[in-house]
Amino acid sequence: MRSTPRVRSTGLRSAALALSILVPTATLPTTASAAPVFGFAKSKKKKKSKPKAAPEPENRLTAQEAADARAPIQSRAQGMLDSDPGSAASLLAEEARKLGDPILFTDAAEAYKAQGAKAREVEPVESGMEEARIALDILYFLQDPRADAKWEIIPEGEIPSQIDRARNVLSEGEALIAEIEKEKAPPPPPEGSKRERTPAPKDGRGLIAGGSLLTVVGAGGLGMIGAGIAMGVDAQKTVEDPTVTGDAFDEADAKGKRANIITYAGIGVAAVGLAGGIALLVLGVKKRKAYRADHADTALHLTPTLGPGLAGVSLSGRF
Amino acid sequence: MKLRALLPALALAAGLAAPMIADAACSDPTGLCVNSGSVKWKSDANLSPAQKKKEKKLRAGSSVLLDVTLDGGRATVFLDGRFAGVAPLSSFSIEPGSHEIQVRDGNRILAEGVVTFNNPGESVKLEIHH
Repeated sequence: MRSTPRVRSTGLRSAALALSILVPTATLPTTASAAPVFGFAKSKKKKKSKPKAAPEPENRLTAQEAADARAPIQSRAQGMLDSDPGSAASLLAEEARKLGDPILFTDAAEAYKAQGAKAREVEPVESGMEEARIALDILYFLQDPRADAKWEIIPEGEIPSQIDRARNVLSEGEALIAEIEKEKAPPPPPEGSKRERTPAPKDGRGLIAGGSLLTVVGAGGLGMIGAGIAMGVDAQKTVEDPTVTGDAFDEADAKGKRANIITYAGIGVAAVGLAGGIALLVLGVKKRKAYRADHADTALHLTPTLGPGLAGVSLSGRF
Repeated sequence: MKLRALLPALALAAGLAAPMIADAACSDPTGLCVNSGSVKWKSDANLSPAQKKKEKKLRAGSSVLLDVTLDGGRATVFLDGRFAGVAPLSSFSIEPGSHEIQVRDGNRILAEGVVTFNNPGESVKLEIHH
């Protein structure tokens, strides 16, 4: 008899166990169905926890991010631009290379140009023009299909205006270089110093002048001869005078000797002067005639003409 | 004896092979010369994202050091659609694998194509002829 209730109680226990399992599953909200209650849910969790390869970073640069990176650099450079444009330019150029930012490259170009204008030096202006060329390379590349669409270093709409800006720096740089080079060029020599002395015509005038001078010297020599002879004759007379004796005789003798020296010297001077002078004069006159013959072909000659029953001027020349 | 017989053959092979590589690289119509035997250069080519994915393992290797020189004039180098630097580039670090390259001077493209670095960690020299 005892066994019957046991059997009953076992049946109840089984029903209670079945209910205890069913009730929570039926009453749980649907959203919680994925909760780790059952085995399959646990296995799902395990799958999730497996180490999965991290997705590659998008590596995107938006125009706004680029502008945000650019702004503090421009601000720092602006502070230096008036006092030290060279340092501002270096800063801008360095940061432009790091970011590949054409706006910063053009900013650097303008700063270098300002430095060149301030110092009146060509080199910084040339550096600035190179920065502007790099800016143009990037700006043209941004219009190329090979450019990465995720690399928006500047807004697409700004590209044409930035190209114009970089080109302006190039043209203004060229003008500035020309201006500085003009300033540094040595001043042209004054007009007067340019005049060259026209060479004297080779018409024998030098020979005639030299010959004339020597002839004058020769004539001087002739004068010395004359003076020497006169003195010598006078001294000779004194010496030959029988009344002249003693000191007077000696003095006349010395005078005669001096007269001889003067005469001999005069002979030498006259000989050299006259011979040389006359020779030079002859040569000079010949040369002048030859020169005039060569250069007087086209010259006009106005000659007075006089004759019986005739008076006038004749004009002649060769053409 | 065998070694002696081989030496002239080896020397001849080396002598013939070296100028052939250089000649082939430098006769590129776009004017880009690759100064390295392990690098492949294909001018006017593009690189698809699928090709990039295929090279995932290769890209994981240590970087390639790239030098870009010019035989005159000036140029800017762009790699994979972005600014890389102003030529001459020296020891520019880049992942191994294939990369799009463009070298330009203003409006003028001096060279463009796909360059493939097959050996991670190597140093490669590219020479651009104006």
